[in-house]
Amino acid sequence: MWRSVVATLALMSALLAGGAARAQTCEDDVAIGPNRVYVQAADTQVPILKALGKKLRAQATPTTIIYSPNGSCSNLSYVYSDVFTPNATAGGTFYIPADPAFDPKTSPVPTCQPVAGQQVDLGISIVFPDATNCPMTPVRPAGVAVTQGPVQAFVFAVPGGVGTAMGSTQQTITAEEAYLVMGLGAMSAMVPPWGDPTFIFGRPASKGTQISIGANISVPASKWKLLADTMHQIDQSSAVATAIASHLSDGNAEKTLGILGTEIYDQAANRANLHSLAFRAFQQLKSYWPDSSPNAFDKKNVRDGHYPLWSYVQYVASMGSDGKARKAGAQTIIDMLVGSQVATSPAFEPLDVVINAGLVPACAMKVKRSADGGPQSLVANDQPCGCYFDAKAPMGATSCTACTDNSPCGSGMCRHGYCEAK
Amino acid sequence: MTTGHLMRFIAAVALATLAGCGNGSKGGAADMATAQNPDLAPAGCVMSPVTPTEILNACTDAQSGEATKDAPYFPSLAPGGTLPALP
Repeated sequence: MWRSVVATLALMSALLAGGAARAQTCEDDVAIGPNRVYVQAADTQVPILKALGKKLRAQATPTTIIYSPNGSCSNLSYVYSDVFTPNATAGGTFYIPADPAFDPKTSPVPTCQPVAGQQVDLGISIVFPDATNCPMTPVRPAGVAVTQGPVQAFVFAVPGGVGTAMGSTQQTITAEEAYLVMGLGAMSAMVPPWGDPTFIFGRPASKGTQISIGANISVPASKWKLLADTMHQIDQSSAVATAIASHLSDGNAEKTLGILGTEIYDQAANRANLHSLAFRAFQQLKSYWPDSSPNAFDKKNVRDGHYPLWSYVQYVASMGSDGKARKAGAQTIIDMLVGSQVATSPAFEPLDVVINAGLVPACAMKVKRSADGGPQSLVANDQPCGCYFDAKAPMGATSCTACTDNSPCGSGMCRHGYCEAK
Repeated sequence: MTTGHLMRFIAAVALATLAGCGNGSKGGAADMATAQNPDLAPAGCVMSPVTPTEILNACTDAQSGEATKDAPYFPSLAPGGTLPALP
């Protein structure tokens, strides 16, 4: 009798273990939820997808973001062919869980297995989806639309947290230096201390971070002279941060240089171990950080044009006959991330998610551009949100007048609780 | 004072004014000597930027990076900002 009980328990354990080893199907209404949005995400956009995804799963009518991180140009191809394509190198396909204890910054994200032929609801590129940036991408089908979203900045980063005595002493890189190091290769560039390609970390040519920075230093992403292996042309941004930080105290910090999106760099763990370099563009007299100082988060220099290493986040989706994204949940996500009015229950401000992720809403920008690395020009937003951005950015503050209506705003307008110029 | 003298005087004043101003509000390398001394006014910056280059060089209270890499600094393989061709 006892033997048969043990055998039965062993069999049940084996079956449970086998079940656990199989990936959860993404089309599971119970665990994953009924309103699923499949996103091919630029990997720098994963933090904001996790933060927004948690909010969306907590809505009265929940939506589940299912995503796989990949390069911007790859994502465009997947949207155009309309076949969801997981990136195995990045861990496959992830979904935002319903667990209220899920912490977007620290919790592991569960995975699932998409069905064969799964359609793509939303693609995210962090560069303009054009033939210059993505020459291998097919022509965009007529039924696919692109919506321009918030701005993401990019940085050259070196080991050593801001204000710490550890790591690299470097503070600035000029466009000419970056051109030589990345375009000729570290060994030929004669730009000390970045003379050893072993310690130069970039991305594959299809990645938006390298495309955008490359456009600003006149070195197309495909021409970067990096060591030709996956330890130096790194698939995921988070792994670039890890690679840079790994040289914090091994005696090679000074030689180390890598590239990151600020959405990745601004994460507390990365700012503790890395610091970004001020950048001086071609024709510029001084160098600046994305923020007003190395330890700020205000993106002041991105917003006013002093720091040109930035691109728009671009949302790409197949459209329905009503001119909106084919999947309603995808349109909701686009609307939230570009700052359109969206009803939420329980209420939350999507703009906060954008700002907290280290992105700059277009309404807070004072400059614009029409191509990656292209010239900047002044822009006057119809519905500015600069005051709100200043107030909400980490460690932020604003001198703008708080308001609930237009009465204290003179000739201006009350927007998001602050008097804006119009 | 003859018309010729007047014309020469005007020309001299104009040249002196231009020389004294460097390239004034458009910024320029000559003005960057002040970048070594943060107590001086931020000469070289542009008060009301319009063009792309002026936007990059607009006056700001933001902290700037290493002064030793301010213009006209260029790395040895890019003298005067002239870059070698990519391989």
